[in-house]
Amino acid sequence: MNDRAVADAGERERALDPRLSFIVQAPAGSGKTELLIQRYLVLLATVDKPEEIAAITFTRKAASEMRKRVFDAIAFARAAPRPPAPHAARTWDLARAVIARDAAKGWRLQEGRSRLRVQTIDALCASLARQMPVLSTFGAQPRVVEDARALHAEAARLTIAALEDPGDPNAADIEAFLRHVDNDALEAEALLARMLEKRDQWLRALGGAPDRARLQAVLAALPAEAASRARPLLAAAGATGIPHGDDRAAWIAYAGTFLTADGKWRSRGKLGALATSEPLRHALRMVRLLPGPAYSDAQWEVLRAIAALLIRAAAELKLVFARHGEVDFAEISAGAIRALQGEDGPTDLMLALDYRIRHLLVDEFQDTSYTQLDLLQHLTAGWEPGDGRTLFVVGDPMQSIYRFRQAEVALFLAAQRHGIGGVELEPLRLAANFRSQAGIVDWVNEAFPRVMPAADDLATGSVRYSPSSAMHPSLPASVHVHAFHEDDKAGEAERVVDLARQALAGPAPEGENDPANVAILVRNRTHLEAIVPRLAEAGLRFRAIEIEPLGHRPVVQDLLALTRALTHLADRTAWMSVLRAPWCGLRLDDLHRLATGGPATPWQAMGDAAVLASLSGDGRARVERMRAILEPLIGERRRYALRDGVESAWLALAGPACVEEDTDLADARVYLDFLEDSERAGTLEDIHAFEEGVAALFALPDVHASERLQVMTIHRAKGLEFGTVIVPGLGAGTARDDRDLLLWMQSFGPEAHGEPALLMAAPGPTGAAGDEAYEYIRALDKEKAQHECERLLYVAATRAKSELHLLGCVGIEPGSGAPRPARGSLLHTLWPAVGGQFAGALARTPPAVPTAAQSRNESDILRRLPASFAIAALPAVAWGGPKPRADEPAVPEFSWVGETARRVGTVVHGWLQRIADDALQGWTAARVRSLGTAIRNQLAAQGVAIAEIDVAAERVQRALTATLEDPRGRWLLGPHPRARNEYRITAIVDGAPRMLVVDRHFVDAEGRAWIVDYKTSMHEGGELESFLDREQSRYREQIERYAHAVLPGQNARLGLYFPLLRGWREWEITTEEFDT
Amino acid sequence: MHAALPPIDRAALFDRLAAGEGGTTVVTSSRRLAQHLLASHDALQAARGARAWESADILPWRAFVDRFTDDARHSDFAAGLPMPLSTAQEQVLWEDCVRASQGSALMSVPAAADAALAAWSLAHAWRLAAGLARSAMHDDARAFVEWSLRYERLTRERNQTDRARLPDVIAPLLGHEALRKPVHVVLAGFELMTPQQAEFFERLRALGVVFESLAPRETEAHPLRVSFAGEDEELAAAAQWARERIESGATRVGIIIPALARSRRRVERIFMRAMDPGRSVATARSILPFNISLGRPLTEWPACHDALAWLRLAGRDVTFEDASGLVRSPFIAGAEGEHAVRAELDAAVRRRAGARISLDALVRLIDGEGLPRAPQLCERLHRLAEFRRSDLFARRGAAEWARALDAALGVLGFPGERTLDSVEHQVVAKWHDALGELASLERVCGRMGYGDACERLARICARTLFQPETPDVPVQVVGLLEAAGLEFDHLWVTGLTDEAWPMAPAPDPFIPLALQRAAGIPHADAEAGLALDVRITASWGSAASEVVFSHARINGESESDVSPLVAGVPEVDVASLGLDPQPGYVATLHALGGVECIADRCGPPVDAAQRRGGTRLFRDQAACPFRAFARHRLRVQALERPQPGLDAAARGTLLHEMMRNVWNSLEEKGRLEVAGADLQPLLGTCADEAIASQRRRHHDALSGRFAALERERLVATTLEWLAVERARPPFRVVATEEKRELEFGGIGVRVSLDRLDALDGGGSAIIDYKSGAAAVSAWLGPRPDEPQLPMYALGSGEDVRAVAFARLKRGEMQFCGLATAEGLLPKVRTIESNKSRNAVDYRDWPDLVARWRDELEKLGREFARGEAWVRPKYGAQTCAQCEQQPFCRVAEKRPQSLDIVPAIGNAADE
Ligand code: SF4
Repeated sequence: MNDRAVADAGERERALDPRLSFIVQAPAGSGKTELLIQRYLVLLATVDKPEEIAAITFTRKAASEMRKRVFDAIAFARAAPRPPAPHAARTWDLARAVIARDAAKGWRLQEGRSRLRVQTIDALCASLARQMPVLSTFGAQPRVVEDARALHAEAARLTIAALEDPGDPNAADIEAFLRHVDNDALEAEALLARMLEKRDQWLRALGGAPDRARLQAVLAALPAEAASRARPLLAAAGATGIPHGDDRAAWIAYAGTFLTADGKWRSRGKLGALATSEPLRHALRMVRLLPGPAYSDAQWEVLRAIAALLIRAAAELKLVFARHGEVDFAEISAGAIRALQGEDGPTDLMLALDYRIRHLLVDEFQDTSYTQLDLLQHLTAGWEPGDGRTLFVVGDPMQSIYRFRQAEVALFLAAQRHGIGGVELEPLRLAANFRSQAGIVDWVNEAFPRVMPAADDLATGSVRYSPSSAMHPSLPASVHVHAFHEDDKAGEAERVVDLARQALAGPAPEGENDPANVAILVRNRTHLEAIVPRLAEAGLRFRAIEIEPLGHRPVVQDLLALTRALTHLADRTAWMSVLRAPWCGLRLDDLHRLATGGPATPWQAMGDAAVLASLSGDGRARVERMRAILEPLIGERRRYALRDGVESAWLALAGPACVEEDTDLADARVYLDFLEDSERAGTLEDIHAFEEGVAALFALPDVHASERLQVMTIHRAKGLEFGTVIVPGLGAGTARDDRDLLLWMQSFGPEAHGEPALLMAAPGPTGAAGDEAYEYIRALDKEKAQHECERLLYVAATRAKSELHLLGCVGIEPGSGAPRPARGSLLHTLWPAVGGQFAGALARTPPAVPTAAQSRNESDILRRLPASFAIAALPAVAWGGPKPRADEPAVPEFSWVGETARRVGTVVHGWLQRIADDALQGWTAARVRSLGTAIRNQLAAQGVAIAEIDVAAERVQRALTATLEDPRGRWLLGPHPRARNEYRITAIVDGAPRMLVVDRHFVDAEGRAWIVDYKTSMHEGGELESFLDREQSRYREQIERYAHAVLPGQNARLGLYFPLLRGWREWEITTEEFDT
Repeated sequence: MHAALPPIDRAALFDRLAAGEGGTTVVTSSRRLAQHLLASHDALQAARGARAWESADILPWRAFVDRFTDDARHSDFAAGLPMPLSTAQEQVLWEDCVRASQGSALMSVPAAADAALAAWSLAHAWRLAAGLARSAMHDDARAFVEWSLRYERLTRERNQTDRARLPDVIAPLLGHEALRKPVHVVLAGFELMTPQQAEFFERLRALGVVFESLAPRETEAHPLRVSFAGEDEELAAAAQWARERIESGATRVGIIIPALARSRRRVERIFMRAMDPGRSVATARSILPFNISLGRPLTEWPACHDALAWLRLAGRDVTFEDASGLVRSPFIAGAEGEHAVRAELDAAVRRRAGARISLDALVRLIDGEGLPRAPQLCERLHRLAEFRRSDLFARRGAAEWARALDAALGVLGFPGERTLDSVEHQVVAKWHDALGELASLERVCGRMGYGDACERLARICARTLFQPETPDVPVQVVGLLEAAGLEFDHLWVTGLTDEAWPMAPAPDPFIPLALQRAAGIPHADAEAGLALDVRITASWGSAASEVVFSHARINGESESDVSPLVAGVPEVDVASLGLDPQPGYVATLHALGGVECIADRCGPPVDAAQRRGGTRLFRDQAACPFRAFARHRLRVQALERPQPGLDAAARGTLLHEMMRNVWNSLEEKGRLEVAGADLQPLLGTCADEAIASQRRRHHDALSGRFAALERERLVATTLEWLAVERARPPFRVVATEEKRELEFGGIGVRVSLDRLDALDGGGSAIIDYKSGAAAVSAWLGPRPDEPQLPMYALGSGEDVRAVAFARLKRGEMQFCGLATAEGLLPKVRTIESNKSRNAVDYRDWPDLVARWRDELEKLGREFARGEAWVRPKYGAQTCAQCEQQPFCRVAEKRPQSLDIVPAIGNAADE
């Protein structure tokens, strides 16, 4: 850090007061993370348990970085002496205090690192829900999925399908809704699913059912709101005849004198200077769009039906969640909030968590959502000023760029004014910029007040500019603009390449060892279309962060085709692709013969003799190789993990030899890992959904490129810094926006303290004119989006440490010949600040030379491995393991009767063992009869069905009684020397130890050693003797194995006893000698 | 208790066991440890040359208790003993209890029941049950108290007990002589002994049993520490290390992976690839030398997965994709013989099916006309549908359902005709066990419906962890908690990051934390957890003679540090572990490279006999020659994705039908005027006819209320359109949907024209309905995008004065086309007055017509020649909706695959 006097030192010091709550506005480069760390250290030194501080970050990465920096500070304070620089010394002192506290309280922080609760809001919600399973109403922690679109779609589909159920309470709503979207069920489903994604917003607003009177009250208040916005602007512009009251009609008429129906200035000449203020135009446009004070019945009917349907869909979604045991992040947050609502206050929360949250630190608060705010309000419920609990929120409303993730910058502004929940927050503003050289800071200070609105406004999400003061001195090069004529994307791309090259070649900045790094930042990935190929042609390697869709990579397309082919024999596209891919590379004429030659599926054709005979010699060899590799995979389908199957085939086909770059191999791995995560039970349940999943992934950055040149979106660059920043594509317009099923807006009156009032509207029916209220909210939303563009530019500009380049194509206005940026482009937003410069630059730029777009004339080239390609296999592990058993077992025999018989056998064995243990002592038929209940309980515990238990118990008793009454049975179970029951012996069988259990072993009066097994077999009908013979041969090997183990090198008598049949078989063998 | 016991070391214990005198029982804390000790003992016996020996009595705690229970069940007081519930039965009772007090308020009652069951076990093991009611202060704890009171009462009334309470049931009976007690007990792995266990052992000791405890091995290894960039690299190194250790003779190698449950599949794969880099999973049969301690839920094993899915289909409708998976399942009769034809059938059925499908609908679809025939499948499905009607309804007991479900699968020929391999064999056996468990629920719950029975079976399967049996192998991969007490020659502990180790506390949410802490339950709070983890870390140090700790520096997006508990262990370079870095199969292949390039842009010319097609062929040829070749020569089509409702094409077809019906009745504009406002009845009839004609293909989307809505849409759209027609000068509709045979460039085309109108001033207009976007530019310039109207204009033989799209998009209805004069059709102008970029090239109408012919002839000739260049007319935009991307390999032809629009002109046509 620089040793210039820090402009905002006082504010920074105040922010470390552990007794007070603050909201800190920290512009780009102001070192807010450092401030958070210091505050964290300050707080740590005051708490009883580290868990009492909860820090909330925007991303997991930020959480782990913050935790690491806290520990680094502590470690530094432990190991190093107090540094001389005042700022570092301050941190050192704070960390020493923490070390002392740790020692005093016995936390052992250094070892128990997870005790620092630094986490994302999602993780915090998950932990709250986990500790309160009933209150959160989950029952038990469900799995959280990041991409829950499939679940949303399923819920939407089921909701619409309910139309078929005439008794369904929402059937009429569904019908009304379908009619509204021109009976396009697909569209209806997509709309519903998209709404479910952001249900955390509307669900809290909808509550039970929409209340017409309440909503209309908001509708009626709109003119006053719009008028109050327009009036000061008009006055400032010197307009006359401004209406006094807030009568809607009067205002609309008045605005009509300035603006045309589509919101353009009527005529510049007449209006003069008035017509230069963009904010005024916006304000008047909103006036022109003011909806009437009430919903028409038809409007209301649609709104009501849609609202009812949405509530229904949300309920359906819960069922879908329950069925899958998975939820999305929104559900976890909602669960956490439910849990906090249900608690009877902070004591209960403490009981559930085992500690009290005393301090909350929230980073990136400008990108907070209503749900997150809700959560904070609940966590701080009951906090009183001065009770030792504090809330510390940090952020920069000028960098709020996550509207698409439901971030609402107005919440920051509101918190600055009114605090959060019951907690008052003292606003602090940082101004020092430790990142950029003065030239850039000064330029931003000068430009952005002209780009951003003059005042904060909650309703439109307007944030005024807050200046910074540079801590680094000015350097010569700072901010440059580069203008190009309309459609001269090639020229722009060329310039980007030049700039990057120059910057990379430049010297290292003063005081640093490495040359500065360079970033190319774009608003939208598509703005790179012309640039990326030029960079590649220029031989500049770069790291493109989340730029190229993974599914565009040829290696991934090939693997995907292989996956599809293996899972579906009739997927012709996949099969043809697999045959055409470089690993096979079949020519078109051979493909044609294969595709038209006979059998319906390519796979069958590949094995068809006639088809094979019709192929060229080379083609036949290739097809045969292919078939040999894939045949086992197809025959053994569903026996291997699909990923393993695809990977095996890819390796066997020499797929890795077909790609050019190491990056391709890395991309292949990303694909295969995704496949592994997506497959269930060896297959993909929905191949199309899987393909959509692949399409949402990004290819990895070039593994051989250094960090010095990076390409990414502005969103992705948030929080990063670069020596040189190049921002091309400023002249490009925006893509279309989706029309939502329901729009709503919060109305922040001056009293916007409690629950802000809410307005809702549904779009007009497909093909009909729009709904007034809907169009009004939509226009407001557009204005919010416009303000976000301003902030996006601010984020882009403030990434640069020493140099910033702004590039864009500009059109010429046909009439005036003046340059005019495209509407909706970032350049349009930036124009008030750079218009003059751009116009000048454009005048110096030669018009674009229309170059014939180069075609990569490779389109008739087929890349493939030569037929001779071969590779030696790599050796597998060498170990003395057993050979796999060759005998494939037959289908397991299963029958309900067999199961019961088996259980009867188990129980009989148990009792025979007991009787033998007692050597018949005390065992009579009467005693067996008295065992009824015990036996039935045993059978029940074994799982014998209630309906069969009597029969089974009777059979057990019959077996026991029969044995007791049978002289041979009495002889068997009676007293013998060296008798053993359930004799367990381990023997080496087939080279491995195996435990054998001998039912009975003894030496009889003649000194003969016996090995006997009991068999509870049953047999009906005649031929008992031959049945017993069969049983004997069935069990012979097993019994003899016992004998070899128990009585090696001896004569052994072997017996099989059948109590239920009073059967008996005996024989004798001489067992093998051990050769020890 | 454990610490105070006299220690006995392993060698002495094994000697005593080997002496075969009996009387010594080794009780272990886990099943794995029992197996491990038994295997070590047996290995020692075998090494000493024994061929058979009396088995060592080594068993885990649970089995130890069960053995006494079994004795009690054969005693005089057996009849009065409470019945133990199986886990599945316990779960059902807990579900009942949760439901009784929470009703439907919880998202997942079964999950809550599982959690409650876990809390119940914990409370008994740690002797907290008694204090619960008193100290439950927060809502969740109070809820649990309520559930457990109910559960306790229910089981008491029925004289049932459970796993958690069994030791407490048995302990008081231990004194009875029917319960046979060993002379010596050696405890192993009880570093963490629960009070319940301690009391049980204490009771035995009081009865004279002599206790000892197995001492940890003395040798102190000097652990080393390594780190890796990512988890994959870390695991790969551990696997490679294990391979090298066993190749140099080690017989006991342990790998501990803390997050094993999460990464099981990945671990298995990485170890497989390390042990056998080029392994083909379909053909390899050799046994790999590692074993992973954790099973996977039975539901994830294909046979069980499919069986459950079949049962679901027999219940209610399922997603089409689920049904498709079943049709292609190898686990039913005829799956091998009909493999290919079933796939074809599936592909065909996709064109007609909705997003969800019922068994009856599936049966109806596969019987459809013109579809590939799979007789066995048909027969089985018919039988299943019948069986469903006769046997799979009403409310029945669990045992009855178990048999019915089994029978339903029997009808399908489950588990199929392919000979089961050993794993499948075991899975099917487990499946039967699960059916048995379902049957056993009859003791705890009443009658239920079919859906409920299937759900319960699915839950039983999901809770059954299954792992195929493997022979004893040298490398054991285990999770953190299964590692207690195991000893190895070499041990590697992975995943020791600061976030993972020490473990974050994971207290039970249902038991007050104060109680948990007071009882000393590990991981209930940070401090106790830390102390335990420090102990475990130390025990690893002596568990093998070589010990390695590792962690990955990058974890997803964030960076990780080494665990503070092993930070003091010296860090070394991976190389110093003696690992020989292996490039791996992928890298080896990649290094070989060797791709060659050949020219291949033309297929064989079209046979004279097959020189025909539809307008679509020309459209495709214009857009991209390769696409036309693939679609029309090779018949390469993508698998369709059944959608809910009607897709855009179906909606378009319905409108076409509607229009045809309308004009077939109206014929001329005059009639339209006459019919005036009262067109409704006529339009209604036309709509009904249109819907009827399409119902066979879109059964679900065109039945019931969906049909009524569609009828409404058709009528409303048509009414809106007729307003446009009313603005025209008088005309007469001469033909609708007329088909003509034409020829361009040697390719015969069958052109179907939507409409031909005779105009009042002479000549005719050709009209094509479009529900999507439509623009005149689609006919202009080289390779026209929409050639069918020009084709018809050229081939109609009429005096064509205008060609136009009729745009049927609501809110944007209009004609859009070109005419020989202004005013023939509303908003349709002459080519001369069209100032668009493409139109200025044309002098006048005759010029336009002449150039149409040229273009069409060229396209036809290209196609006939077999031209298959990869040349999408508008680059990526053309490819965006094209299913041939992986086939044509266009991505390979674009640098970084960002798009350059290739110049495409007539270059393809010399
Ligand atoms: S994807 Fe593009 S290049 Fe390939 S066939 Fe289709 S249109 Fe042609």
